[in-house]
Amino acid sequence: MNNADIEEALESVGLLAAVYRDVEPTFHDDGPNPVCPINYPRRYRVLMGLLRTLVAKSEKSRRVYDLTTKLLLENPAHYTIWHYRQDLLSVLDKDLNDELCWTESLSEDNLKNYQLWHHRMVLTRRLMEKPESERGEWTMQGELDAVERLLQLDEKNYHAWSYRIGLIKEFNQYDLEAEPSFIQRMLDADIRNNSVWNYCFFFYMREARREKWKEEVDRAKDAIQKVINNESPWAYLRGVLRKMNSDLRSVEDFVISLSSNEYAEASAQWWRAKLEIAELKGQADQAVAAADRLCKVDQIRLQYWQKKMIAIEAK
Amino acid sequence: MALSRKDVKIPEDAVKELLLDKHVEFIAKYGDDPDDYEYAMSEFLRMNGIYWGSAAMHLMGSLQSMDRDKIIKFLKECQAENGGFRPVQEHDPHLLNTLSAVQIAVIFDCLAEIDVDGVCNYVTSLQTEEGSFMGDQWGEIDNRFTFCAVACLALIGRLSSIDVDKAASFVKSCLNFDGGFGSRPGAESHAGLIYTCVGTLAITGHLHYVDSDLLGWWLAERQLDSGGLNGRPEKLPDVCYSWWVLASLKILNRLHWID
Repeated sequence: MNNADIEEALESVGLLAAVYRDVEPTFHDDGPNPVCPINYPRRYRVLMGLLRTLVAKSEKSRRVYDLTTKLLLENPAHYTIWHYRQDLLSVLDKDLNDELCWTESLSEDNLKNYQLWHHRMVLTRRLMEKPESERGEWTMQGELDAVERLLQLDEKNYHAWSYRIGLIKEFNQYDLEAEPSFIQRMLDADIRNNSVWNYCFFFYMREARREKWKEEVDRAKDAIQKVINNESPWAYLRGVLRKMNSDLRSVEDFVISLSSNEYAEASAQWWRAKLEIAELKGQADQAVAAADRLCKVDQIRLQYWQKKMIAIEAK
Repeated sequence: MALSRKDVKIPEDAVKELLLDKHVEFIAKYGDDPDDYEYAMSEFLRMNGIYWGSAAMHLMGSLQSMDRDKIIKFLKECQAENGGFRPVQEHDPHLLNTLSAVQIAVIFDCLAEIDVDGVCNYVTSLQTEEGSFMGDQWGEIDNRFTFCAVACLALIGRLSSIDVDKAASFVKSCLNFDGGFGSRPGAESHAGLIYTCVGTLAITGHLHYVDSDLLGWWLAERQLDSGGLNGRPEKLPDVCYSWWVLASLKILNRLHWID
């Protein structure tokens, strides 16, 4: 490994070679192949080699922090580097609002990266431990707004939604005024977004609010009327009713009223509801008729519906 | 449009047979070029990759194409002092790699070459008060880790080292209104997480926590007209979900519910 290679690696990511002149990189194997042209993986491995040396010496300085910035930009899944950085943020007393901005800028291209989301939670926990006056411009609502910005890029992002749930739970933020309008925005954007429905259950069917469960039944009915074959509101409806020790029979009139919907006849969700109600009421003929219809409108599950018909007839 | 679910269309000229020889070749050659960009960038999951490759080779009857000695050497070099396994030398140890390492050791029948007590201590140290597991000392909680912990210990016959009942009740606290499970309490039901939770409950003898008909149906509904399976309602199918969903249905004795 010659100094020119090290300098080139550092300069290529905008770091000053002079700052690292005393650092000899270490590698866990033979190091990057010296025969290969110095390109992305080779430069990256040189920089990693420098970081390794500094970490082994337990150095916790600005130049180590800067290396983590460049390396994480290149490889945000390298969780060990995130750990160093989280440590350095404390030791160097870095501004956490700046760190959140930087994290968000990295997130746009890495929305499915576990480490970035966990990093946000680490920072949020540190900020929440400080008195309000020491948090700068940070607020919980601001953090939730950041989650929404990232959701705009990927509306069903599993990490974003579970992070939001985690924030609300851990810091008991159920009374934030802006949350219901956030939920409505997401539902308006895509009524088939299952993540929003899950969030609705988490937020609206929590113990403290459960006496308003009928509003949730209405929410589901409303959505079903708009898109009759939408899986999520049907599952939501069943879930709410089950939680209240009820079942689809209590909405039988509603299900029947859907027959005027132009897509009802061809809707697997509708016929499933009719089948379920018929079974609950012990109406074998109607149940068999519904299962028979499902053989046609839910063909991928043909074998399942055929077996279902046999099982009903056998009873 | 109003009735259709999000799905893909398999092109007419798509491959129609399983090309096992090519798969064996691909896995055998993987890692030949350490300067390859993606290979360098994916160091953080090297241990997992070796497990996936070995398991696949084993299923295809080609395990002998893997370099057993090199792999054993790699395993030993990656076990940290705290008993956990690194993904590759000098990255921090993590529960994800620890499961993969144990799985690799079982496949190559070399458990004696690693420090099994160390693994046990490491995994045990990551269980929290409420029964969940952190991925490592930095505290991320996720049911992927619950499964890693439980599967890992079961493979080395040390399941009783952890609080099994608490682990199962943490999973139970993640049960959702649709019968499924997510990564943490309240998180959306997701086929991958369902596999980790159902797997945990199966290994710990707590499958009775699951409403098998309700969850079985949710899983069956993952199948789309193309034949592929998705991970959640109104998402596109992906072959990884074929594994998560089918494996879960198998555990629940409802594999015949799908086509």
